[in-house]
Amino acid sequence: MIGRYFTQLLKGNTDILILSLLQRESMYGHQIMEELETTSGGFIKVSEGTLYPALHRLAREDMTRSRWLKLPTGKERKFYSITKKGEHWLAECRSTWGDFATAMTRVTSPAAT
Amino acid sequence: MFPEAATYLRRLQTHLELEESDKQDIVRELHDHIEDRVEALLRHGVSERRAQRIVLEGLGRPRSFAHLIGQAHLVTGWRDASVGALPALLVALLFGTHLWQTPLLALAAGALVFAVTIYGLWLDRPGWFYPWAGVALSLMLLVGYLDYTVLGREFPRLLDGDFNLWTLFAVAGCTLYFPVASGLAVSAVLVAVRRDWLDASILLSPMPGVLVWIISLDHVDGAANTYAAMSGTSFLLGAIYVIMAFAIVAYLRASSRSRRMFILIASSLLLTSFGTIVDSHLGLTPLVLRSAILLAFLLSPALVTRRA
Repeated sequence: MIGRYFTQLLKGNTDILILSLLQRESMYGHQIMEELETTSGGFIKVSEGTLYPALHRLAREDMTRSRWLKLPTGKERKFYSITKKGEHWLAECRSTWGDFATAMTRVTSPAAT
Repeated sequence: MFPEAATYLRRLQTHLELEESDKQDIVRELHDHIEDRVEALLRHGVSERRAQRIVLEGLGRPRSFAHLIGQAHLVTGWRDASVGALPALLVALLFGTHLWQTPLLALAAGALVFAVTIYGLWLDRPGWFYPWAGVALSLMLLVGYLDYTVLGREFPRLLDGDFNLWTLFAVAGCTLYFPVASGLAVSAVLVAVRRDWLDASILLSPMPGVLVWIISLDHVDGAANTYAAMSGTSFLLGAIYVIMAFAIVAYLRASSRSRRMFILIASSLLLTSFGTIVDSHLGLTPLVLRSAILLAFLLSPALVTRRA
């Protein structure tokens, strides 16, 4: 049950997580996966089946843009970066998320006796 | 690249319903991802065999992955767009050639529509799903009308004290149908609205035509005269559904929501105007009124989504 709840929670917040990372720097798919896991202390792990459709959807919605760039190793990777539209959307989401988290904490906290 | 991954990418490419350049781009991106992921897992001490398995499991089935990417790209491929137009063409064929008058054929067509709709549900609502589901809902509307006529005939018998098994069964069955069908229809619209209200509009789009047909049927007095009296309307409905089939292809192929909305509005106005050309007695005010009602009906899911 908890696993399912967590999956739903993650699914609903994949876009905001990805855009938050891309706001820091441009990244490619695998890098985003690793960064999410590292930054969240191993708590957030997204599968490729969640990450790539989200990346492509965000690109189609003009929230991100992508281009092939060379790594120092010489290999090419498809880097995603956030757009102005993505930044605006992220700012709104962050504000809503903040309000939501506060409200959730208030409601779900055990009542003081 | 290990052989299973190469096979995976080949299968993925065949399932991707995208422009060739997009397909190649995605395959290249995933190829690099698999390479990176295996290397990272090897660095973490995972065995090569296990690393390869973990990566492929993370990707899921090629077909499902291709579907998810396709959804993300929104634009429906030609094949899916054509499949989406088929139910409208099927209805056009039934009406245009009067085949609807052959009960067995009409039943087979209805069964086909429901079977394809259920298959579409199983595939997690691909691009072509909503036009099929829309025709399925319209058929439910038609069945509702048939129920209504059965109720109109059988219910007075029940009131007259005729409690035979058939009458009881018919009245109970037909009465039960309305809440069940309404519940199904409302949930279908709500589910569609949750994803995209435009999908819900496409779901509702075949209904006005069927509703007009039902109203016309209701005006014909006596079953014996029905087929002859409906000949003209049937042909007109056939033509309307052909136009609708083209509109569906254009809609599904549209690459943005604004284009889809434009196609939806333009085709609705075109269909109303087409009806007006045939019904030459119609004045400007009724035409505007018809168009407004049709547009309000098709755009109504947008209001639901705003409230949700």
